[in-house]
Amino acid sequence: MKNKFLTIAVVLIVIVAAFFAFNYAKDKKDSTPKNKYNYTFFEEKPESFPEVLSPGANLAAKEYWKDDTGRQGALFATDISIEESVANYEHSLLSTGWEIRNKVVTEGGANLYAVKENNAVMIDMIILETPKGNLTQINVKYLQ
Amino acid sequence: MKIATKLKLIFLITILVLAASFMFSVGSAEAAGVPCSSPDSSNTCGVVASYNMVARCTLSGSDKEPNGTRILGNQECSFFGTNVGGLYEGPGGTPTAYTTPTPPGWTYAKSGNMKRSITNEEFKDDPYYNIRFFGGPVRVFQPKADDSSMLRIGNNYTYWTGCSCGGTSVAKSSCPSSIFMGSPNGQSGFDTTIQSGDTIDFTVKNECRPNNGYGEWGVGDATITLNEATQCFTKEYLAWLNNNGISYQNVTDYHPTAPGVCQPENAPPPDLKVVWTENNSASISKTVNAGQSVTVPFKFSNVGGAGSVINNITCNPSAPSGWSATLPSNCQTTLQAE
Repeated sequence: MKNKFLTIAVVLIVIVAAFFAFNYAKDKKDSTPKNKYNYTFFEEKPESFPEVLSPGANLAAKEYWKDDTGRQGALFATDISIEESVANYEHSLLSTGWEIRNKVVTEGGANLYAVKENNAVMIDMIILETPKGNLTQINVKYLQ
Repeated sequence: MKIATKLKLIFLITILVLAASFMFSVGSAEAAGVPCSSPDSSNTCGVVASYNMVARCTLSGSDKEPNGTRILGNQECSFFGTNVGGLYEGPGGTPTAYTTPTPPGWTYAKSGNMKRSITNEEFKDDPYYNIRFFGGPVRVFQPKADDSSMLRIGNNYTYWTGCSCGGTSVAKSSCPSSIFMGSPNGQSGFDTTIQSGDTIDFTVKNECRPNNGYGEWGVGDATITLNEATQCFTKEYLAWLNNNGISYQNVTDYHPTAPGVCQPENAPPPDLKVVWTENNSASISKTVNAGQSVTVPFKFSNVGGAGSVINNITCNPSAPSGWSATLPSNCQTTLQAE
């Protein structure tokens, strides 16, 4: 008799534990963004990455990345203004044969879109307020 | 005032405190930088900024199939939907439609990050931001296409007309100028609004018959700039900032939960503590004569764990029979005895 109660108690505990585990897993799954990519990061620009991801002067603190769909990108930060950053990058694009198809500059940021043959580059800039002052952050994505 | 009425008033105010405690939800808006929650509340964990979505289609191929069959025009590259192979010269010179989505040997190259629909869901285009757009104003730019292009946002269409070659003629030199149609200001750059749930289509069409061997016969692109997208930093971005002299303690993924709100992943739930400002207590007693009104301000604080976020407070007044209760936007309660 005693063993019977013990068995029932164990079964009930297992069922309750399974119920909570299922709900936990479901919540965790639901909160995962749908388009999850795997990223690889590089401190220096890999040779296979295009030059448009490395425009040169006035930019510091680089990081490069690629995802598993073939997109490549770079992240920069600079203390010069959005307007100057746009002008610098615009000059860099035009002098290397890119055609700027769209440019939107607002108070807090800028977006550039340029094409060259079948390739496209998207550049998003934002002003980042930090305890050390404002930074212009430049996020470059290269789409093939 | 009768004791019963006073009791009713105390009861009502206590109910209001409880209601305010439970009825909070996500929602407030920030202009630009989105502050982190504790323990990094002096830092920024996201921004409300413009975000570009781009779609581009390029149609390339030969003017003849390997077996010598002449390829005609009307090829259509659809960024999201089904491609159209266009026409070829059938027996007796009859224009005949391909049953394949492209002519043999042709490539329809698609690039860009345009979303099929603006569904109010979080998305990610790079390692650094979790992005969400809650609907609102956008800037559209659809430069002139070769030969024609169509952009649909919800039920609104904008398009560049191309040559009217009927798919069989080269005749580019005699084409009338392309014109842009459907935009609210007649220009190919214009402002409009996207509602949550609007779907997007973009197609580029080569109208005319290709000639002179291999070439690029159609190309077009379109940009939709989401004017105010909430872009929350990921742990990769916070780690990058840490490596560049800006100190973050809670290096985790932040997610946009409302316009201008970034919430850390796995944050503990907030716990709202509400008290009446006058006596710093959860209940208060007031004497109000018929025809008079009284305003009872309260204050609230988050006593939840570190990292928890209260986005918005919603108050819901209710009054017993014979009383009216109004609630201004600052959540101060005004009671009026009728």
